[in-house]
Amino acid sequence: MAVLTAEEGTSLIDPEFYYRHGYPTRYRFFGDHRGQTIWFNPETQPRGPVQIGGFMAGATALAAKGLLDTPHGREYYGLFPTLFMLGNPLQNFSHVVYPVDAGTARGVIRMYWAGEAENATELFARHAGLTMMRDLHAEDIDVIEDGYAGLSSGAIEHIHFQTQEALCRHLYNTVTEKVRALQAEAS
Amino acid sequence: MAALPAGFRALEPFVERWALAGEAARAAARSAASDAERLEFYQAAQPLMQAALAHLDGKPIGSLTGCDAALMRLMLSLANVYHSVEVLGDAEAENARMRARLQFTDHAPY
Repeated sequence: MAVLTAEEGTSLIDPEFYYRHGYPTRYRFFGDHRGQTIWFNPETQPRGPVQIGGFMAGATALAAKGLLDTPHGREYYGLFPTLFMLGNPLQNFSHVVYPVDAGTARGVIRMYWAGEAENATELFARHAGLTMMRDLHAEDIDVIEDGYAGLSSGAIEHIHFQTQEALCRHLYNTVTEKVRALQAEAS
Repeated sequence: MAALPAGFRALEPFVERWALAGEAARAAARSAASDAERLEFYQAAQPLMQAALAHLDGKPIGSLTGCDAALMRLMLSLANVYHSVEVLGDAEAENARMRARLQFTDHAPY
């Protein structure tokens, strides 16, 4: 396993730069697979009584099941090629990207909880979290489509992946290796 | 016949619009409502949230029926609408445009 932390990758840039922009604080590579540690803003506060109530109820239910404390809470895992999972027990989800054709992909996001909700408060907390996650993921769609459009236009011939794009670089390299291996095998 | 349990009748005007079965239907109602309609529901339901959940916690969550099921669905709509009111604010319309493309596949019991 290879590990690259923000501190190691920022010899020319103050690590605070990474924190200000919310970049991951660590990148890891497991053969074909990859992962990153999500930066957490310690100043983040719930915005209102329902969000606070949802967070508190969700955390309480998880703690009662012994699931709140986990070393994987800020880990985002990427299994080659396109299965992703966040280890956070409050917002545990997987995201699978399926190719539809050469220019189109479909993303399927699944949220997971341990067992059925035991009462109305726990069910409410799960749904409050579900709403937040849907709204957050929806904001990615425009960015992804714009990225596809830009790449498809041919306007850019080269991309220089920076440190915080190490997972993209790893995916690109892994795909390239596998395609070349297949071509060599075919020839 | 009352649509909601005693103590929550103040929410009866919201039952038809917000006590909907299924997360997809509730999310659609949220997006279809105006800012004023969402705020009106939120301002009525949020102060009763703790009492409503405490009432429902005393019942088996897997088999709520009648008034109790309607109250649960209202609370789950509140779990939708709060994000527009408490978090998104002026960004709600833009987020609604984007989330319209991220459809729910419903597995929720209510």
